[in-house]
Amino acid sequence: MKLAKFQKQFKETMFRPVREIQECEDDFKALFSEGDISLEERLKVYHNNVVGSLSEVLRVTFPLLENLVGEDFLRAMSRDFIFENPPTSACVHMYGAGFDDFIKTYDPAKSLPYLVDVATLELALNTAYYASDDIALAPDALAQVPPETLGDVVLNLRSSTTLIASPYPLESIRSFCLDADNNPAPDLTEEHTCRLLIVRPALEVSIISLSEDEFEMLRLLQDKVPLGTAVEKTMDAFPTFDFTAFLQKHTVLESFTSL
Amino acid sequence: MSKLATSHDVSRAVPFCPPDLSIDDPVGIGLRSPHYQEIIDQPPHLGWLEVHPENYFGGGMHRHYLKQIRQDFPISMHGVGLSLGSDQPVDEQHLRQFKELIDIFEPFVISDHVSWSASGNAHLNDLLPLPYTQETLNRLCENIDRTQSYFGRKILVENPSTYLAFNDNEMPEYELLNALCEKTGCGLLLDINNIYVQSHNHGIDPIEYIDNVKHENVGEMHLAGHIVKKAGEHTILIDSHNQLVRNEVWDLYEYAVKRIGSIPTLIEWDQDFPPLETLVEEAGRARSIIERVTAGKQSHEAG
Repeated sequence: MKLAKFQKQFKETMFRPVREIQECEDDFKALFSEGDISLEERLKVYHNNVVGSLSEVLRVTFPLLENLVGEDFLRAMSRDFIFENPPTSACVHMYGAGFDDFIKTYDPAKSLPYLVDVATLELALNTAYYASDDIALAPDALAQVPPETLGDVVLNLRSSTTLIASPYPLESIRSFCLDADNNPAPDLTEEHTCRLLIVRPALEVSIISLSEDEFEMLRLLQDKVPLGTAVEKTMDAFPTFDFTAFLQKHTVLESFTSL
Repeated sequence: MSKLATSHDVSRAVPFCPPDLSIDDPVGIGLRSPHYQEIIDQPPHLGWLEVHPENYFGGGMHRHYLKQIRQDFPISMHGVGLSLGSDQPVDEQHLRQFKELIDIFEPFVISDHVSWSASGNAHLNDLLPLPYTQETLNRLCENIDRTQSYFGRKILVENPSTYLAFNDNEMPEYELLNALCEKTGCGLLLDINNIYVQSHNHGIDPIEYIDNVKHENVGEMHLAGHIVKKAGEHTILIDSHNQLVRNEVWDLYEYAVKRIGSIPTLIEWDQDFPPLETLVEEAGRARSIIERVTAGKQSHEAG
């Protein structure tokens, strides 16, 4: 058998449930000598390494989910995700993109709809943690731009940025998961839109709560809308938007990259 | 002549190491995040540290610590994701990210494995087995060549632990390794624990393996713990990297040092991390074996 075909069949054997491990083709089975130990046992060692290590990657990335649903539930859900969405890069600590969308379709999680947004939050935290290093906008950088061209400036958000809007109180859920003794149980019955900026200004990841107008302005900047147009559009939707306060706050928070 | 050679016998420089990046103590441990702060606060008695470059492809905390630690220690870069044995070219983006780290951190050796992990777009996150055939040899050579020309440096390739045996192997593992070195100019990272695991799992003779690997190609050795897994009435050894190095493996290591010489040696530990002290003690045990063998050779030569 050619190397490519062997590797493809081996991959397919790994990314299906362990009870189906023997359901590989006969020409694949014929590649191996069993000796004292059966082929099934031998393949199981690899299945355990591949699926076990990837499940562990997800467990480390999604501690809040583990806290909410328990280790066994998360492991079962992770396994199904892994079979459908194997990593596409060797950089596995970034593995897990799309886990939130997968949870939407995962029947056993249907009764816990907030899990999807908790997964989105954890993905954003992980993305920020491993994002490439970039330099924050200096406090006086915009003052150096000639006033007549200021409106054309495209103010970029840090490479670590994710903006999240959710009908669930994600921050309270997180605090409760991390320290249930000192935080109240979150109220999941009422809708209270939560808007968050996840960013890593230096080494630590920040979770910043945003007002509605602030969220809209950042969203426009993320879409590379020039500063002048972004301010106009935000003010159209939110006439009380205070751009000066916004700029000051996010310069201090180091939300923008250098020009 | 390298610093290693002056303080620890041997008549040659550290193989596959650029002269300006040489080390002066042959033993190191794998650098893992739970030990970052302790290593910065109280640099332990070690010659060098090994990192998996894939853990540093992003920015942030890990790179920040590595920059600090690099000021006190030489490092080696031991890839786990090049997938040299895949029937497809090594991923360009992976090479680019790896090379960026080589330029920043100047590792004294660079290595990856004689195994595969990627098939098509999927990456399996394990070091998977290969049939030892001419086709595999050709494919490995193409990927090693591609990697070495991208990096502008020679790499070492590590012998694997495997749990499957192929019927159509055309050569023993050591012969494949020798051929890779001969055809690409790469060196060997000889993992002594893996040789021991292979000897148990496949019934090969570990002494014959060590005797037959071309000694001048060996640029680094690895030592790690393994576990014994029951499979029916028999056992299979799993290269688990979560245990102390077993005595049988220490014995084999001593034999390898006697045959091959004082080679940079690493203690690997990748899960269920022990206190840093335990790893430093294991490294000390390797150092004392090197010193004992070296002293024995010198007195033998003097006598």
